[in-house]
Amino acid sequence: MTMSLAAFQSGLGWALQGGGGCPVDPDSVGIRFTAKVRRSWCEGRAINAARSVLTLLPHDQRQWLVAAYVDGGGGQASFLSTEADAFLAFLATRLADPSHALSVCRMEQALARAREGAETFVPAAHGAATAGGGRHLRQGRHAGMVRFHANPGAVLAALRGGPLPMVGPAGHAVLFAPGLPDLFRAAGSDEAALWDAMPAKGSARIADRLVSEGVLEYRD
Amino acid sequence: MPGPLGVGFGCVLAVPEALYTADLLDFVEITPEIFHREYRDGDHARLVPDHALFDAARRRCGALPIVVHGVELSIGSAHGMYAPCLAMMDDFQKQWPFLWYSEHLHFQTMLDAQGKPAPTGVPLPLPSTRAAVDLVAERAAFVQRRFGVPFLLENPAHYLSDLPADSDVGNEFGLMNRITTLAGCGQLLDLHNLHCNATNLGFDAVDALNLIRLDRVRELHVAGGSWSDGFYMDAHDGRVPEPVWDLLELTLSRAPGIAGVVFEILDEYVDRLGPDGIARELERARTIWRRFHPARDAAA
Repeated sequence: MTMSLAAFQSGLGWALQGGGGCPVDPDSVGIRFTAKVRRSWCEGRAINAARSVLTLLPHDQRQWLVAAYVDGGGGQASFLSTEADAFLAFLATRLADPSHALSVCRMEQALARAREGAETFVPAAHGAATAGGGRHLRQGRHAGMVRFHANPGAVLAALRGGPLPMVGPAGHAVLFAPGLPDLFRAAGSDEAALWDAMPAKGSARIADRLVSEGVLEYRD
Repeated sequence: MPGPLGVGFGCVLAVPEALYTADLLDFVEITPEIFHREYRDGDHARLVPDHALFDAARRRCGALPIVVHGVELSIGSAHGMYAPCLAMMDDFQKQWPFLWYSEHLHFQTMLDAQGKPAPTGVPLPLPSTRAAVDLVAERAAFVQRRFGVPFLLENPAHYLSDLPADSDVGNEFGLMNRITTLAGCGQLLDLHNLHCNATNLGFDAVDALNLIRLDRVRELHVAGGSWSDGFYMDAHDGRVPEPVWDLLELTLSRAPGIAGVVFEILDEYVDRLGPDGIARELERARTIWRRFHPARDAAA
């Protein structure tokens, strides 16, 4: 073979995704079937990665979203966690807002972040929040808050075949964080308000600028 | 290489734990990747164990010996293996020692248009070339040294009849023979993959056994498959077809160095076969195995 092994592999890989330069006969039944198998694997990975969200969608919308994701190069990650990160991010920008599907999508994303954070999480000492010392509080990088538009228990029951509740106001907040038992719990209204008031990751610099401009000031 | 173990089964969490008994199994084949999550930070990836799944697998396997069957190393990728797998295996071996380690002779990552590693989306076969032999043999020898246990390569199923080949390597059998010889590693001969390729690519699987270095074969896989678009697929979705049982008998009769036979089925097809159906496949494999390994049973 005159072509390098790397060139062969890239050529074959690209050809299966519709590219040119196939190092074997691009019109053979074998390459066409391999491309079909590849497509089926990619769709299967995507479906597995977001099964709960997809369960809440009508069949046609589900198929359209999976196809659009795979058409854009999705569905290739071997590890479920990696595929879930990518597909949930894709879905989060395309699902109706508000909708139960979007809440569940954000829940899955928040749960994955909390799970990742739990691998290395060390609880802060009690009272650290008020210790000051010139440090800023912000939303935890592995934490999240998801607002459900119905009782979360009823929404999750719909994943197991129960009736889907009506979409109401976003009155049911759930916190996700690496230090919580089971990684989540319902948020009290005071906690939800505090979470909303907290700068997100990267906003400390904005807050510093606003302080320097006199827009914000420290309390006495 | 460890002495003959007998018949094994994968650690399939969808299967009732009751099946994991020495009455039915002699060992369990573990795929560590299924107990791990991948975390990515830019181009850097690491594999983190899912302790709940790992603990469930350990409980399930009890005192049964284990072997490892990896699925993500991509040993044939020209640009490099998937390194996080090696680190994962280092940690896994410390926690749960295994008798041997097998992987697939294929590639599943390539370089994209920007020259970055990218997944192919489906495992793909290597061309039968000297470059492929040299690349994989060096890596296989490295992996075997690193873990200090036998390393086996599995022949893949594929649908491509016109893969490039160097004349002195010849075909997929020549490729595997050269690699195992050069690396000093073993082969996991997947008889269902052999049956698939023979069916789809038009050769005789029994004749092919004459082309395989059976003295290098340490483990056998059997599985079921199904038809789609005129191709017979390695789907791991049901009972082992009769021609594969015949291949098992024939191979065991000619390859005394084989240490184990594993029946494979994917999680999503467990319900189709059911626990009793799986048990029947394992019992049939054991009956055939015992025909060629009577001494161990007499001792037991």
